[in-house]
Amino acid sequence: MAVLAPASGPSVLSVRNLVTVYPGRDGEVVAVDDVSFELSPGEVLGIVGDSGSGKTTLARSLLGLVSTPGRIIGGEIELHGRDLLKLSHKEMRQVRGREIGMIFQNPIRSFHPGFTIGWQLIEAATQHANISRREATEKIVEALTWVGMPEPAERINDYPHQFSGGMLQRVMIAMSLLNEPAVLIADEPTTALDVTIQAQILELIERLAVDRGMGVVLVTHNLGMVASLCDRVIVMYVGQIVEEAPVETVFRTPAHPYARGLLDSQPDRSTGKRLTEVRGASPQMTELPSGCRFQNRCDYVEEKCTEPPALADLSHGQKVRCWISQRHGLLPTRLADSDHRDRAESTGLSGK
Amino acid sequence: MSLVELDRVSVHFSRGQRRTRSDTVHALDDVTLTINPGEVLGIVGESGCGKTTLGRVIVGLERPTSGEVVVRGVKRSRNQRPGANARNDGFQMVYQDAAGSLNPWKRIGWSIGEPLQNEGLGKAERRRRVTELLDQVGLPGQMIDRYPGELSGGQQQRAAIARALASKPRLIVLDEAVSSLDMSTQAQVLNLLKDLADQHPVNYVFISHDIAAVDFMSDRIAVMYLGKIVELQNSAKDTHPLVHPYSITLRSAVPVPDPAVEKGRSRIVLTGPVASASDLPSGCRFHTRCPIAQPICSEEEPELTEHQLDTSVACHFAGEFEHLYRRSSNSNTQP
Repeated sequence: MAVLAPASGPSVLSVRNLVTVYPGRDGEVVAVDDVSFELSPGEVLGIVGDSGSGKTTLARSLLGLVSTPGRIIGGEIELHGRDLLKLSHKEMRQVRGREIGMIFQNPIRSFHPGFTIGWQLIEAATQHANISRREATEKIVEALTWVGMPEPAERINDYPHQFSGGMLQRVMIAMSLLNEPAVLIADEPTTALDVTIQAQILELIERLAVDRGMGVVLVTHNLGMVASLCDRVIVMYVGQIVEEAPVETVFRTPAHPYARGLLDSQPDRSTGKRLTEVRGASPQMTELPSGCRFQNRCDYVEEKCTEPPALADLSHGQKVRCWISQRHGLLPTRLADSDHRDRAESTGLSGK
Repeated sequence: MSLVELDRVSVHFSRGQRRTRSDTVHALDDVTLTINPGEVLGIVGESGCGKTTLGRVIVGLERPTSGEVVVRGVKRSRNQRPGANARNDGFQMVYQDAAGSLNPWKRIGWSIGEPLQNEGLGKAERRRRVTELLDQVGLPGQMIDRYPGELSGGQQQRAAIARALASKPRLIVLDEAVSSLDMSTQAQVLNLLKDLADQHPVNYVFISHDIAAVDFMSDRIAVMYLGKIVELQNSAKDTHPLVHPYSITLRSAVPVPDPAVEKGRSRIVLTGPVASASDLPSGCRFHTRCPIAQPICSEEEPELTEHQLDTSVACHFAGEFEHLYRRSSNSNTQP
């Protein structure tokens, strides 16, 4: 957890009213629906949601990598005050890698199998900076050392298949470090890795934020990772942000019934009782109910829910898209309940 | 009488033309294990640890290279086709990829009813049984005429479970059965599995890399590393913390979905090279990464022996890492 991250400050990345669509048989599918958020330097922002919630499309939109026929039809993505959506493809290529770094779920597919790691890293290093190959080599060896690669000077002559998944993800992180970007987009960076390796990568990402002041957007479905790494969380549901709040707040007093459902459905080893479940399944993007998109799975549903709720500010930086919690207040989770029972020290119950 | 007994079972695969030593993959080595009626055995480990191979041996889809499998007191014949063993013993398997285990060109009802074909049931009777099964796994009746592509991931996995239940199996091996599901549907399927076990006389072997899910489902837990069981816990509940350095690391590596806990705890991060099943290290297989490895660990392979009541561990220094770890971390960090 990046402890020193400023709660408010000049943001390095601000996204306003972003809309990304894919054309489909039954009309356009709005994969990212009016998404806005700010990212501060040194902050780790988690984006969580089920598959189909639009979290990966959001990450790819930020990088200008939405695959055709999908396209961004509205909004602004400002990096250091410059709107990325107004840039040409060529200019955007200069931004990627230099100003925004990226790591993806499957490291082996992010590298060309036919070139050595060193060749690919040197290409990335020289692409954005006017340096010689020797300087670039020094730079990549330094970056590889930083990510904990043993014998980096020798290993740069190896091909991607000669690395394990965890090592290759380190190489990917090293590559995204080369030009010291201000923002790192990490899309499910440990999902393909074993848990003992995941722990190593988590540490690295934490160091990126804390030691290097990089702003990190972490897309994941793993709530444990969110709890250990993120400062702030955005919960997405079928294309929309349904909740945004500091991590402590989301885990103790989530305001949206979906967020609450997700948190309560985590297996808890001490109880061994039945898990609380979120019933049903996410609606298809083409068959959205009018009004709140979560209404047919929600335990608290009311008449009002057939009208679309807006993302409204609660207190302490918490935003929610729900009529119920806007009217009746917050929904304590199992975690908060057990805190209360144990009279344990309150951790964020007051939303501090 | 135990349901399944494995006695020093090994499975080796050879790859390539030259059958040299380094071409042999030791997927499973000398595994001895008992599954008792009425219990859920959890198997946890990382990729390549042999957990799927172990599941396939138990079901009867994989023939051991050496060792014996005894099912309800009868030695499993080595001459049978692997698939026939599973059928004779009444064992079933549910896979991670539910979509891949249902025929995409056939309706759900057909796929679920297929195991009933040899039972001599009439068409109407079979349809009635399939409707019953759908109901048991919580799928609406009209799903019987749908194609797999029309179902969500969670519904497909429910259908795969219904199909496994159709032949009234004694044992179902669930191989990463919830791993590919969305967060919000994992809990649904885990609950369903628990409910079904209460209603039917069925045993589970629950295989997963997710130690939280294994904890939730299992009465006993086997932790695997590179083809070996390194720890066997006969009671999965909180009273017995894990003992083997690898097991403790594994549990510590999984981030807990609670920021208050995460803030206060130190995670054990392993260094050292990960060994491979085709080039095993000498001695204890974990010694290349073990934080408390001593010279003896690279010389002598530890046997799985009883460490305390209900806990067997394969480690020369069983229990010592536990003490170290507890001392160095605060009360929040129960491994």
